[in-house]
Amino acid sequence: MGKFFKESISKMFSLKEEIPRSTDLVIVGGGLVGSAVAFFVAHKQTNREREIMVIERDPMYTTASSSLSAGGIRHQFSVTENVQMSMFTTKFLRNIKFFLGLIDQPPPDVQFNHQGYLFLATPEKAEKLEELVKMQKYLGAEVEMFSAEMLKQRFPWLNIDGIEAGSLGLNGEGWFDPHSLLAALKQRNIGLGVRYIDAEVIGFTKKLSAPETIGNQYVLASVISRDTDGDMFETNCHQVVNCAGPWAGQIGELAGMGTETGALSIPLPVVPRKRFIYAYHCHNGPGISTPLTVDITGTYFRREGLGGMYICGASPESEEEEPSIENLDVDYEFFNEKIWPRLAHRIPAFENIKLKSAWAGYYDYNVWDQNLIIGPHPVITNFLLANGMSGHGLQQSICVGNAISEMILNADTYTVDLSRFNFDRIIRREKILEDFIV
Amino acid sequence: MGDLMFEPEYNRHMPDDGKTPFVNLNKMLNVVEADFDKESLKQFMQRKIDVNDIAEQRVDAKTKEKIGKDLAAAYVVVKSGGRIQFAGMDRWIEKKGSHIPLPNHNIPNLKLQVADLTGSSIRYEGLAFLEGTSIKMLILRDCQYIDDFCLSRLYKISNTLEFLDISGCTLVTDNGLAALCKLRNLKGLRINDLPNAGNKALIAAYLLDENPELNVLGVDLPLDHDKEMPETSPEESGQYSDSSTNSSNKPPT
Repeated sequence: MGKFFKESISKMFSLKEEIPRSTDLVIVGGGLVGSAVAFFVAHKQTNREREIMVIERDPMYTTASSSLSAGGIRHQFSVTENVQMSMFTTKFLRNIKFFLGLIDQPPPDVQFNHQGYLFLATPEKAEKLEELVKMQKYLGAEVEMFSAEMLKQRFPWLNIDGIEAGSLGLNGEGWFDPHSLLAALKQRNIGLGVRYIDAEVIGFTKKLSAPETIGNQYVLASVISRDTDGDMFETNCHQVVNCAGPWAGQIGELAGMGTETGALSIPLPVVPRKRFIYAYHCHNGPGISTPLTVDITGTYFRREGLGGMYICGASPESEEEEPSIENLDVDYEFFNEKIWPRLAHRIPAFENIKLKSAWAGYYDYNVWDQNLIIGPHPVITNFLLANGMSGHGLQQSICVGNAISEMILNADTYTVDLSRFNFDRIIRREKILEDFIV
Repeated sequence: MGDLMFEPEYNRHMPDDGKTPFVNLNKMLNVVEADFDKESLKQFMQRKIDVNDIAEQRVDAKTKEKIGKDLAAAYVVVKSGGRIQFAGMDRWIEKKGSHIPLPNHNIPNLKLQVADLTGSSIRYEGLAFLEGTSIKMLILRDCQYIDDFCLSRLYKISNTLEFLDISGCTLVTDNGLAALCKLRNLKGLRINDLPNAGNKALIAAYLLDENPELNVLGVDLPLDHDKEMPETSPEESGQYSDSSTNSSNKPPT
């Protein structure tokens, strides 16, 4: 009786909306991937035939990987689908006015910087790099190989000691503001009738979908979530998409992955991995044409704005050096000992810099092979995965959103065929490995 | 496979029988949900215009092969309402009514040198005509669809482009101007009337740092910049012919 009274009062006096009791599509996670999935389904479906609900527990995106990303987008990958995915995202951003714009309003501005990526190669790696550039160009990427001398001419700030060659993105690559894109997606989604629910998913209910003689196949019948007041709600649903980013493994577990026998015994191999970004000022640093440069050591940097600021980072060199994921505290020793010396060696102007700030974010790290896992789970047939992009989530989010929408809407063909990346490869213990991890 | 993405194609020639592979893409891009309110109709009409422009501004590979890249490029420009000059010729060529006064067979050694698309509806996709040409002067004045992505695409003529005018292209922002760093041989740049590029003076200074040969017009450079401004602009001294300030039809030297 007390709870009923409380609910009535809150309905009368507060603006709190109740979490719906049933919906068609539940998207766990409202970051770039989740919002992209919601957008493409909502955009393509006719007459709002599916109700879409996005459940996000961090509505201000304070710790969301989407907001904390360095914002880079490149087409230079060794896996062909990775090239195609980020090319798709570039095309989307180029046409953002059509997709996310509102009539008579200026198009959403994601601050796209067009200076491209530069990957440097040692003499041992230069030939392989050239082959990969050929493959990328075949797929339509606008990338070019440069010898060390040509690089020195083009980028006088570069120390080419130990460098044989480099590959530079000439068009369509660069960096942009991820939060602007997320805000534009969310705004458009809400206009298309998508519900964003401020809540945390804490469980699912399952039911058998096929007779036991064929082998257990389940569907997720409902999702149980807890809102910011601590109240729990159950929402019936037809399909669920896992877009929980670094926390996708936990959502997978709630859905039953890694708990039973057979195919269900395999957990979703996605864990959070902490990465740092350091922002610094340099008085006479590299100029306006500077690409996002990735050194042979894996350290990267790029210009930030027009006031002499830059940002940099690097992945740790081994599993042992992986920082604790308990919180988003920054390790400045990593900058002083690992990053700065390498940066200063490659770009002598960076011997004199002033560190201004730093932050940390999580990669949704696929411990199996650091590549996307996408598609329906083989046993939990209405549970779609869109996880494990391991640092490439920003640039793959749009294409992944579109691909999931094609699966949901039963498209005749797929714009980019990502069937290789389904969960089956985890079960079969096969890896798809990407050479260009940053 | 690279072309299979999102290219908005006006599929006059593709059957919409539900079986051909481009149906999904075209459904997404050519059709907007027909709510009959003013905003949706406006959006629907704009999309039709977009798709039509892109179809009009492309040249298929076979035509390009037959008449050569320069002539194919000239066709795109002239068909879009612009005018062109070939190297070594002293006159502008433009549409007369609906007639395009260009040959329809290959002429060896015909080089497109100047393209003036003032006021045209040239699109990002339409700029594909730049590929393989050696254009020295490109005028994109008052082009309402020229945006940052288009400016990035100009890298295709970075080897030969010496003069660029993007005045009045309201979609251009600071990041688009920054993308002009790719035009490493540029000698003249006119950037008047860019209301969405709030820091164009600062970016001009950065471009000058990397390319001291560059003359930037239409902006007041920061006071402490050490580059001396010429007494008269290259346009006034007749160095670059420009449709609005110079009535003589001389191509740039």
